[in-house]
Amino acid sequence: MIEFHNVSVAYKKKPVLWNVDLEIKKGSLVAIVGPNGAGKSTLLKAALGLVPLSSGYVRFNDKPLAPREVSYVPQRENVDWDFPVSVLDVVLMSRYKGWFNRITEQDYKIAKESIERLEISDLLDNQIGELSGGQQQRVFIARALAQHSEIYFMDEPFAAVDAKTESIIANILKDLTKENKTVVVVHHDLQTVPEYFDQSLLLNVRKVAYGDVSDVFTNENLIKTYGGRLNVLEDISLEMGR
Amino acid sequence: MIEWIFLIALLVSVTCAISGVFLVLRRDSLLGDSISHSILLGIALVFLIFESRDPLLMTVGGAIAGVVTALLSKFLSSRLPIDTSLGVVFSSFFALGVIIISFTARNVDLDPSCVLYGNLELLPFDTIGEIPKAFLRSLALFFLVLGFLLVFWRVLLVSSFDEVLTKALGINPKVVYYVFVCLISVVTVLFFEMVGSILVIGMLVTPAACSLLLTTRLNTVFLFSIAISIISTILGVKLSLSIDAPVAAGIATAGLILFLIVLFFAPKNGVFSKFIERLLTRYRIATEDLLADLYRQTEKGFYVTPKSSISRFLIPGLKLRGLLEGSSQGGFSLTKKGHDAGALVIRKHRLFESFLEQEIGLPPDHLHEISEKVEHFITEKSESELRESIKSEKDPHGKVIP
Repeated sequence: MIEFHNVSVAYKKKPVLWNVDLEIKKGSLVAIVGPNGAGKSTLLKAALGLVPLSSGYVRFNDKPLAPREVSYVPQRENVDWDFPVSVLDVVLMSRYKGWFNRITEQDYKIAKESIERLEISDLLDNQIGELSGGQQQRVFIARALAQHSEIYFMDEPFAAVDAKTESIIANILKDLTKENKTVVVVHHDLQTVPEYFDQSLLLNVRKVAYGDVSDVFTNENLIKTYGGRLNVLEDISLEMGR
Repeated sequence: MIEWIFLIALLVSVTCAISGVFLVLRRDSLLGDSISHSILLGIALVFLIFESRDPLLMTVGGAIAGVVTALLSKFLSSRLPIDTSLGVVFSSFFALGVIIISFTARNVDLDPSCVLYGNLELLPFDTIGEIPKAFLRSLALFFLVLGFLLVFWRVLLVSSFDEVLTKALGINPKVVYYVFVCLISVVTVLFFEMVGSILVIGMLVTPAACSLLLTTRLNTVFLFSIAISIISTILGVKLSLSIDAPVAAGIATAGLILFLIVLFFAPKNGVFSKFIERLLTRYRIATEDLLADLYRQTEKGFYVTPKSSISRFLIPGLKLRGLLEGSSQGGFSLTKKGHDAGALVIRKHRLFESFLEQEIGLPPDHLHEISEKVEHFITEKSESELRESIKSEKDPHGKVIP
């Protein structure tokens, strides 16, 4: 179980996350949804210790969550795609072990299996900048798989990918849940949440709701999450309609 | 003596080249420049405190100065952009170093020009037995750097590429960063006498910069960097000896020349190759447009086109490829092969028009202009995909899709 207890994060004194309490059970498949600037990515980064917490803590099985327990898939724009590495190089990186590491046959095998699962085996030796957006996304998911963690954090893996990539990733998420891994995904497309995910966190700086998608995906919760803006738009459109 | 100059210069530039690859990949070239200046303060303080030119002491002093530069600029970067903080820190360290040297080292043989570009050409005179000290020192540093890279290249690679993953692997990226800063400091301190503190950055960065324009694989980046540093050393030493200029300046100049050559002529990313590529594409488009035009003429029953209405530039190429032939009436007509080639362009054009109308729902008067551009970039694969989704035999304007 991952436990967020009273987690707050501020950037330059402006709160990005406020007193978030959350318990994610082992084997959950969670979509974090919310408007831009709701703190979705920040929540993942806070859990990984990449941003300082102004209050609270994040624990995994009653111990502080260590970065090495998590496979993290960054947002695509945070990657240097000109870097001179191939698909295999990137996936193998997740098999490095500390300062004096050695890559074994076993590591190669694991890396190639993950690449196979994402159906990019034919691109093994391509430099990562030569791939399409969807293929690039799949490289990082393959890398996360090869890391063999219990927890998977993914930041917008479905953003701007082709239909094939989308279905491959969706299947991988389901598979991971079957293996009883915990998967937390920042997701931007509300429509596909019920199809791809079991649980959802509705977030807008504060936690609005968390639970099974069927329970929390109510009109009321969504309006609360996407906030006054929707109401304002509704009001304005009413005014204009008069 | 010249042989020793060559050997020392080769060791210096190859060592710099392999140290510089990760400097460039980490996008820390300015940091390297800053370190190579700041070490002067370290060296000067060693003079001031120990009144010694012991290489080991100087190395330690330089490494400390390098790390302090990195630390201080990182600290300031919470308030200022990182390039600004680096600029402030390294120039002031350099200035302090110059001041300390000028009042402590009046009787030590270290002059300002040595700070600028070293005095590699004098070093072979300072020997142990037959062998110059500088050669031994460079050889030792070369093996040190080589060994360091062989052991830690994966750590350097992953920490340059992805800090979060580095942490997840149980490696502290900050430690990697400062260890790397130490390495660059040691390299710049030990080569200080040979190439000074300004030109060393060119020797660190230029080979990697050239290589990254030529290749997209890490191992080849290293091999190319080594090759480029060797070539620029040979050219540079010859150049500087023939015009009696400082050796380091010769090497850096040769590096610049190589860089310009690569910049223009690199097969994939070069300015010149891009230009040729664009030119070829324009030629291809013009040819395809002409073939399509001639094909449309044949649809209307005109099989011969007068010479005057065909661009003079296109005729020889088309005739050579057997697409066009002179007709007995004095104009030109398409050969069988040319007719097929024209049909292919028209097919793509009309398929795409149909696609735009059926799948995107554009009105008929919006279709031609865009298809006229797109037709040249439809691959065989996309064409067959279009063919599959377009069932009709005719395009939206009622013309037959060939």
